[in-house]
Amino acid sequence: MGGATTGGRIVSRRRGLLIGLEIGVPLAAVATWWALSSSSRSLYFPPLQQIMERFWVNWAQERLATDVAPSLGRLGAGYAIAVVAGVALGVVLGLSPWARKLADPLVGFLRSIPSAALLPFAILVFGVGDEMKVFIIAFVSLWPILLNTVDGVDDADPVMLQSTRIYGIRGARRLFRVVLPAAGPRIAAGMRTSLSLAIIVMIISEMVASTSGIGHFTLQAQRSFQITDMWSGIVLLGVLGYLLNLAFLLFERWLLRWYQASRGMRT
Amino acid sequence: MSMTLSVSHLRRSYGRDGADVAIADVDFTVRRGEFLCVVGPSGCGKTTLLKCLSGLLPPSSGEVRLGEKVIEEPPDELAMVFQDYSRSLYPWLTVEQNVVLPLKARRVPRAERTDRTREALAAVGLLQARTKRPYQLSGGMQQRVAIARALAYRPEILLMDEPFASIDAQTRAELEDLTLRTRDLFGITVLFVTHDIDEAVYLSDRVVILSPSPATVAEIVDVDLPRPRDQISTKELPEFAALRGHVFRAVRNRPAGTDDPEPPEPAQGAAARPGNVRT
Ligand SMILES: Nc1ncnc2c1ncn2[C@@H]1O[C@H](COP(=O)(O)OP(=O)(O)O)[C@@H](O)[C@H]1O
Ligand SMILES: [Mg+2]
Repeated sequence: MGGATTGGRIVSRRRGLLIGLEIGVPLAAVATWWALSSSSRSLYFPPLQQIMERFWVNWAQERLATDVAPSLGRLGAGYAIAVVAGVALGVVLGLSPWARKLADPLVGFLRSIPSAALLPFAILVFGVGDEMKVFIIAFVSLWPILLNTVDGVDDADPVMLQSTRIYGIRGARRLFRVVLPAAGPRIAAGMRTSLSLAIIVMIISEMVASTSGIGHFTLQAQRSFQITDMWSGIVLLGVLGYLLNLAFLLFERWLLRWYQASRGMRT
Repeated sequence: MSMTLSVSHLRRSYGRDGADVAIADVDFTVRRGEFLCVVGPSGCGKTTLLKCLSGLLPPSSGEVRLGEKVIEEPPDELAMVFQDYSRSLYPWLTVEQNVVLPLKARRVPRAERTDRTREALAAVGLLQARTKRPYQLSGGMQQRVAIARALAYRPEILLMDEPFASIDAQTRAELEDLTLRTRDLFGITVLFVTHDIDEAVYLSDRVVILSPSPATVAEIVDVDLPRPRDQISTKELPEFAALRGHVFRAVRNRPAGTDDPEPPEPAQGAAARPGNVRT
């Protein structure tokens, strides 16, 4: 008993230390940046205080609707399309070895096209509007989700599938209550990879051809030597990326709580 | 009511060109309403046999019939408790959802679904645990969930693959009697694989003894002990002891040169269950 309590205390002390580091290190980094830049005269490295002032004016007031909203809208639309299409196609390919054989070469080719190489084509077909960005975000995000879904569906436990057959669980019920949950951990892993890709592609597509968006604003600020504005854009993109990943992790943890608990990752 | 399940010249092999023969040639009939136990050494092909019988695995040759119909897919009227019980449950569903899902697939009306699920969970002593998930339960409890799922399904034919192997002796006796009662209540036909010869004799109307791998039927023994059976008085009958001895000898006396080594002779004394054959 005594040993167990001591063990528990050590674990909780370690966890406390980890959480402390997780919050403390970024705070220390920001404080250092703030202090080192406070008296900066450099054009390229304005004081963090000035950056944060521009950050507030730009992102909380003036440009929330004109730049932040369009960026997030494109990101959300492209990512949502990738999730729906990737999971749907992945289930089809995962369930049918035949379809997989047929699709393999095509999937292999398409997924290895670098996203930047697709931009000229996307601009040609969709112009420089939202459709182009949504398309390219969706295209790039599709592959990790698709390939992970295929693997997840294909790897489902044979005994579980046999008991599903024995009890006559078929069609939509089989898909939603058995196949998709079984592939859930892999699908989530694919979605996590895709989310990071989607954010990168959103920024690039807005820098290359756009009249709005955070990426567009950040590049424009740089071109017109509004370096403080540029920095406010970079900070916003960093914060957005961090928050979106955090939100995704929380969502994943909730959705797959059975998986983490059954693997002993949490109790 | 349930129909006859018959196996004729069943052969099943695995691997490239079917080089690994798991079942050589098996022939028997499960009579309507019968409780039939299958015993045989580990790896002799018992699980393979059940999977062929249930329509999960196609035979390499021979056939399995339910009534007149050749079984190619698991029939609706059949349920099975898997040896790999924990892998047969859905970890993302609660205990209750695991039991109810097959009933939904069978379009049992909602009120009846709930009743049957609660009843089956109560019968295996898991009503309290119904909102837990399988990974929160011990192995024996998971196995009882799998059993409750089969009971709630109310099959005409129930296949059970070493279902009580991971369950403690007391609960095991209770579940044996529960299985017998359920069988009587619904007139189910039961095909029960076990490595415990006491259990086989206690439960069954007949015992099919399989030879070591690849399986053939070594012998079929009639068990005409009176019913209802009772854990104490049935096992005290001289006929019970005689049958147990007979089956044990039939399982043990197998041709030399098999890969499954002879189990060490248990020390003299009734406490060691002489009916236990290692698997
Ligand atoms: N999926 C499989 N692939 C290849 N060989 C298998 C497979 N399942 C079982 N076998 C082999 O078939 C034989 C019988 O196995 P099994 O039916 O599980 O026996 P039992 O249930 O009597 O222990 C064993 O030699 C086993 O290795
Ligand atoms: Mg087995």
